Amino acid sequence: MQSSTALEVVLKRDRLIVLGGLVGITALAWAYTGYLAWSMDCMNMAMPYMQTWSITELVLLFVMWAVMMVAMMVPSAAPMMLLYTVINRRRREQQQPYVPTAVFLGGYLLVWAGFSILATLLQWGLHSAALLSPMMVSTSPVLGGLVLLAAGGFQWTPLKYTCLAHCRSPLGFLMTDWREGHRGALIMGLRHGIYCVGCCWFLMALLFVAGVMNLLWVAAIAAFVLVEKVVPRGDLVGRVVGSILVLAGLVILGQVLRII
Amino acid sequence: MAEAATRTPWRLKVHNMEACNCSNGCGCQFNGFPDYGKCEAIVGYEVIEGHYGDVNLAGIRAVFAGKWPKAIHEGNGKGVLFIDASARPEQVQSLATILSGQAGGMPWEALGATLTEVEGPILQPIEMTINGRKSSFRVPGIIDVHMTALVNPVTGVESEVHVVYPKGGFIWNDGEVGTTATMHIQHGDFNFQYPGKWAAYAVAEWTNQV
Repeated sequence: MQSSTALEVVLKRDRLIVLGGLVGITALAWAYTGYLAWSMDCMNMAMPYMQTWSITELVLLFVMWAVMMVAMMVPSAAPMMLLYTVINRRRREQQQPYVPTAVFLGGYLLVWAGFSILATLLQWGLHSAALLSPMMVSTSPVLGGLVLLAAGGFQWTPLKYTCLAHCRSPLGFLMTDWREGHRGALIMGLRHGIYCVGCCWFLMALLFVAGVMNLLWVAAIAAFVLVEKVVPRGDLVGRVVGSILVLAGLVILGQVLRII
Repeated sequence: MAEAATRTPWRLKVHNMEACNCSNGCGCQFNGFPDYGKCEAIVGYEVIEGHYGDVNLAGIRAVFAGKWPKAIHEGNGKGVLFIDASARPEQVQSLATILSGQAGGMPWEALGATLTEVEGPILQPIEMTINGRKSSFRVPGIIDVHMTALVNPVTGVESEVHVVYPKGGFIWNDGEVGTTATMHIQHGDFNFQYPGKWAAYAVAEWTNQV
């Protein structure tokens, strides 16, 4: 059982390769997201103000959401991906069947792609109801206030706790939900993704308040998700931020109703 | 399943006695992060029944001590494995192969991936008293763990606490929770003591077969 130094070097390099891949994917996604935001700002390429969008615009909108979700969610999935990588690297060293981490990550991202379809349709609906401006910002302070209130309240629900506990415990997930083979890896990725969507879907609704392409908010939410998932006591941070969102929602609603 | 065909099949049912540096609700059991930043743990095992291929492992005792600088899943862990000196060489080899994760099967394959260094197996006499949350085990001169019941601070009555995972936990399903009267190790880099912290006894079942 003495660990060999050569093996350790290979292991560390393997983690670096996957880490590099994750960073690369994230960087590309951020670059593209930034480019889209910049195009909208500088080149006046806001979404058409017509009541109906063409299928091309819908597809482009979906691509935007999907790329943005990759940018926001891959960093916080890194601890899980890295542990999965080491397990499969050790199998490979023993000439055992192993699965590339990309399959596991693929399953995870498929779920976020599915989520992006729903977000696209929701945005289409809001746009058609003229509740979002062409710059994709909520035009209704009441809607904005209500979303803040609900997103903050969601941070305190059992569903949120359950999903966050899963996301924060890579070891527990791998030990209890392990499946063999490529198909197994894909299913594990899907399951992990579903927990993460369960955890974060309402945070994404905040983008409808701040502006779907508001890079500052996109970055802030991504950073928050990262803290919530990979930092000790991050779950407490999640609840505190939830309370702040509720307060902000109340203030906005109060101003609309002229109570404050 | 073809995937696991080349690996020697194994199955273990053990008395699992664990103690660590966390407070009474070991954070790692529930949300992945230890209470005080790092994880330092000592776990004793006595095999109730089990095998590795053709090797019968019933009755074998082992003690594993591990320490991780942050949460276990963040890796960089060090471990040391003691196996009872009365075990036959093929039993020692088999148990060490399982517990190092090399034979596949959870939880050991995932735990193994968090360890960068494992010392052993070191053959030493291991003393064990299996008695639920009041179990104890010793590697004389190196490790001493004595578990005891939690006591209600108001009434002084011993608490019967269980942690149960109805759908299956990741190490065990139903743990009798207590605390430690004694918990220390002195062996090379491993030098810690955490009396009054998390302790649990459970029967655990593991295998590398689907």
